Amino acid sequence: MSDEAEFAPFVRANTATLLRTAYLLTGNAPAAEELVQDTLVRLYPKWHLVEAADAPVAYVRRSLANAFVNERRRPASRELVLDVVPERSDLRDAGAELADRDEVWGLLRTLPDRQRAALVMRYFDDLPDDQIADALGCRAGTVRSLISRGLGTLREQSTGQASWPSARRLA
Amino acid sequence: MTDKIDVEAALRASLTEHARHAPAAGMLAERIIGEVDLLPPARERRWARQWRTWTLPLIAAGSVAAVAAALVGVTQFRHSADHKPPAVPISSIAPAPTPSATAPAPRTTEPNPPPATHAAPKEVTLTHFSAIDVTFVGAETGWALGTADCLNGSGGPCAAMVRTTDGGVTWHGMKPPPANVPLLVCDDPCIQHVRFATDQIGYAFGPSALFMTTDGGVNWHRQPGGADALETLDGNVIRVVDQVGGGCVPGCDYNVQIAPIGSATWHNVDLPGTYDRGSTTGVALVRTGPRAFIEVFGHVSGGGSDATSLLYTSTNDGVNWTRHDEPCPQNSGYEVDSTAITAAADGSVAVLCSPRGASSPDFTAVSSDGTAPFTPGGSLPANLGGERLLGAASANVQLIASFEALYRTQDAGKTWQSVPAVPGGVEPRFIGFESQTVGRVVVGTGESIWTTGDAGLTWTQHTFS
Repeated sequence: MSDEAEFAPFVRANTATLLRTAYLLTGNAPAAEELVQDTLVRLYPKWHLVEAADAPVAYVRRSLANAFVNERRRPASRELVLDVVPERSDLRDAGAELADRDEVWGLLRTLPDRQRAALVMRYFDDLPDDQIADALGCRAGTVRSLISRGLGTLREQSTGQASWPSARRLA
Repeated sequence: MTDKIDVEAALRASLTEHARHAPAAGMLAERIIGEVDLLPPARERRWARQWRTWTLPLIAAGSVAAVAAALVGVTQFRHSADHKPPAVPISSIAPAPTPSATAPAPRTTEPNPPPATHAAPKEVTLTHFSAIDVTFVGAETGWALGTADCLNGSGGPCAAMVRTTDGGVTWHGMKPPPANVPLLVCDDPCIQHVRFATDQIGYAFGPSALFMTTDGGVNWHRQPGGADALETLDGNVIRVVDQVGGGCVPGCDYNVQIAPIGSATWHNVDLPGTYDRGSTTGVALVRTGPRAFIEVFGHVSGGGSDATSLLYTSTNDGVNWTRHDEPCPQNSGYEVDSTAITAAADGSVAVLCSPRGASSPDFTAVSSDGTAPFTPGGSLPANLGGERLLGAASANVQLIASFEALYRTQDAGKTWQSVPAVPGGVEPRFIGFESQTVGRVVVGTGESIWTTGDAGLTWTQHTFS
């Protein structure tokens, strides 16, 4: 079967899954959709590589995370045209984010992109170190460092927050 | 060690919780597929790398010719591989799920009764029809707005409309309004919804465009302005209009207009009081009998609190309105926001309530008439994610269409059961009841419609094409 014939069923079946990861990475819906769309469209010309992967969805997810980190690395990302004013993200208004219903979510979005991506892939996608490393283009040891620093920052920034959510509350 | 465990567990729980708020995937998947359809096949792409630059003007010329050809004859949206559209679904403009689009049985009196006989709209043969909205005027006659393969053979999707006169068993293509529908891109005029008041008088609309037919869809005429929401019942039509024609979320300023069905003359009506226009994220309009309900949604995520919704009620087909506060019962510990509203044929009104407390599950609340207090039900299944649509056959029987499954309650939301006849794992597109027993659901790619005649106990699937 041709690449094109395989592509559409894959997209229909897995876009929701990929969108969830993208939403956790980007923090807002329009950017998540753009990230998923860009990732899949970029992979389309070499779709035979996706099909040949042991886990095609994991392959695409890693590409998605890689695109997220690399795109955001650029000093001036390309224009994102939105019909909807996006949710606040990144460092723009971290203080106000604490007023949101989930402080963990707010704190996560203040982390550097690579730390956040590593945490999302570890604690949402349950990927092992080597696959996270593959996605981020680094070594497994670096992944462990990113996760450790990310958790440390969350723990540190939570200090003094009287309403830091306990695991029981969020479970 | 305890702290570490707490942080990791809290992070995992937070990610799981927020993943549920990811946008709906159905339309995005089709947009992506549509975008790559514009690319040459893989084999040709490999050749393309070896082409000399002089071939590019020829390609450009061919593309221009193809686009020009595509604009002739059929309504379609404009898309180009060279001009990537924003990846913003139109659904983001109106994030609240569309309320029940199938109206409860209308009164028999109509100010503009249609002639006794009418020519049926010319039938158009469609392939790969995919519905984005559905409307019925009774148990037998209905329409669906969506996309189908363009009639000019371009292979791309175009705006399309189908009609049924046998309760949704068979569907026949008909001429759609001369407008675009949201998929890859939705240039003006863009329509997202369809409503029919009779088998002759109907409306197709979006925030920036409104079309009306008075001859069953043989001809469509564009009306001034657009409609964020529009419902027709009782011989009149109510529309909610934002002042910029879409794209204003958050911060829309809504106006309400009414008109007799089939009339091009609209009258402004007032919504009493004021609201924080800076935090509005969408609007929904539902009707049952002479009563109408407009809910202006607040900003349920991000930002601070105190962004609850407002509910406006009318008992005279939208002529006068009364303002009410957030219909969802509030919790002393956190804010509860309504995110969807629906009206049932028995006059009851139900809302979908989302607590801001991360560990608090969503629930529905129901009022006997929309003005009596809303009584909360039990917790919804905890794994609901993505877009959720709310429908109600009566005060007791409600349905939630979600990514995971279609869920049904018959005790006013106290307990919920999944409906295995309708597939899970796909995004919902439409849910609505036109009586206390007959309802419809469209999920996934929109190629099928599920119909129930017993208030959601059993369902029958039919394809549009």
